[in-house]
Amino acid sequence: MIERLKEILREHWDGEVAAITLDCVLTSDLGMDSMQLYDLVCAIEDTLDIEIPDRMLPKFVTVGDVVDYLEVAA
Amino acid sequence: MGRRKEALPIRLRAEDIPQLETLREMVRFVAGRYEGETAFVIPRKGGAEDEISFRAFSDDIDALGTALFAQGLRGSRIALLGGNSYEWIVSYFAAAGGGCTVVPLDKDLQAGDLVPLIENSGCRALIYAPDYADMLPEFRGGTAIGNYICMSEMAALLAEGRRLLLEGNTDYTGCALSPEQPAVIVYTSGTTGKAKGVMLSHRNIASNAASACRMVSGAGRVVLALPCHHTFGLLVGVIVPLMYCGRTYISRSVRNVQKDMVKLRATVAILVPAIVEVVYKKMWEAAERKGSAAKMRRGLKLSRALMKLGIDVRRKLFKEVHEALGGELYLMVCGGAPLNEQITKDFYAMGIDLLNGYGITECAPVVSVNPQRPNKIGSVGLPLDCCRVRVDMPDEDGIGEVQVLGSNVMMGYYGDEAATKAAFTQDGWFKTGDLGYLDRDGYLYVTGRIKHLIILNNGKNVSPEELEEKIKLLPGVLEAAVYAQDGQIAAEVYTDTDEASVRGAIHEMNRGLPKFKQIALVKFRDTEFPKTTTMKIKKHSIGGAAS
Repeated sequence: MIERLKEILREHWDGEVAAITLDCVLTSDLGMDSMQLYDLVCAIEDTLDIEIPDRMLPKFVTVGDVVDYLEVAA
Repeated sequence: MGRRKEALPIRLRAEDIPQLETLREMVRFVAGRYEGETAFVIPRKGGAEDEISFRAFSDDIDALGTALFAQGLRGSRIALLGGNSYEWIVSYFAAAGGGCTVVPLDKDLQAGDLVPLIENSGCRALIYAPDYADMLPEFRGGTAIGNYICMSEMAALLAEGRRLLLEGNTDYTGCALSPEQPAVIVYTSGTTGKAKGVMLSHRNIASNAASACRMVSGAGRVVLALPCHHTFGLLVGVIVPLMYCGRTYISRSVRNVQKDMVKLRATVAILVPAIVEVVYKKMWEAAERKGSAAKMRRGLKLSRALMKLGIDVRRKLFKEVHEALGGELYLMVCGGAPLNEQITKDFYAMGIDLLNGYGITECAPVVSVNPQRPNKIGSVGLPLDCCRVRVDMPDEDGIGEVQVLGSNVMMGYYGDEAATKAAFTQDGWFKTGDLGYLDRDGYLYVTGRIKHLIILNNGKNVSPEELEEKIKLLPGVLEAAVYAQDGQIAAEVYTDTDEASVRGAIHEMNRGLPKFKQIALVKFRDTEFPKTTTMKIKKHSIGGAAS
């Protein structure tokens, strides 16, 4: 799943994707603010055709959190 | 993906807006007047959409209300929890329309934060969205709620209500409802701390909605993206469009707002400044990517010059911008926080009116809004005709506390007589706690919060909001908060650029300020500020909280 997430990031995020690991913190390591996180979640929803409830967003602290969620939801 | 162009539905003229007194009267009025017109567009999974007519909306309310009464909930307080959905909206109108009191809960709070609110309000029932089911064990242990109703059971409840109605049950449809009854208890999310339960009567809400309609005649296709549990989102995003035969698209999340505007070919958007700023920023980023930013800047100059000559070709000049917003957007209504003046000017030059208003939950919530003509940029507009506004104890610049008297002013804080008493003057005006002034044309300008006001040792007063707006205009600054620290003015900044250049820009800004307003300390933070659900910075959670 992390590879799929990386593919999405490659299209929707300007940073260096290859170095991303599960432990990366979305805010401090990837430099995302809440609006960029919104954009990422929208991109994930569109690509994987799923709906991610708003209340999940605060729980997405690391890349691993997103991957764990997608393993179950996607 | 785009919707074909179609005529906007018929709507009421501003002068024909009737003075209705309860939410139930409002629903019956619009159902009788607009019947089969589409009231709501609901996105479903896989890109499908449902459309609900005004008549069907009214029928659903009667059916759900009848079913709730059959469960013994007549006269109860009912909590509502969930993101924006048709089920949420029907539940709100069904409960309040039958004389129950709705307690709309903030969908972004944790279960532990909601328990005291549910307890304080004395709710007996909770209607919740299915994705909040994990909170139920905590509610069961900590509140007196007896009925848990999941929104996924709505179809069954509606069927049960319809069956009872067909059998001649009029318990709900025939029940008495007074305009003075409380319709909702809204817990203020607040930027300054402890939540209070604001009691709003049917008259408060109905009079505020009618007055807002008379001031801003915008309708058509509206994207509802702000949370319904917030009074501004519900009143301006749902009730006002209903009155105007608007077609409301219930966006699943504020993060989809731009995409949904395109889908619906929205004519009106109801937003908060933080979202407008994002839309604006993305618009320029797109232009930079395409290499058309310079052309756009020239276009803005040309548009302004032509408008001075009475020539309006704005929509042609900025066709690309309009297409990115759905193609038919002509109005954005904003409230809840100060709005960047340059953004308002640029959108106007592009052919989109951006109207700022002022409201507070305790006033149901709208107090003033700019009319489309003349929209005084920088002000929050003219007071609505349901209330009067005065400025108490103005200083030499005419700035004092904004106070409000009118049919939209709350009944009081639920179960808190002391706070209620403290919120009103002896002659009955509501003390907003905001500072501002009225100009000679009666337009209101809000300059800051009394609670945030920095009073320096030399007796000078500084409004942090004024300085925050200036700092936010500096290159690279994403967010800023200003407060007092050890008798000096401090600024905390969240930036996406290097700290030295922001520090330098603040020093430069200081040169244009009187000495007592200059920023003495600059701090940086790695993450954005914690915010309320309407995206205002929570002042009590930052460095200046204790100062």
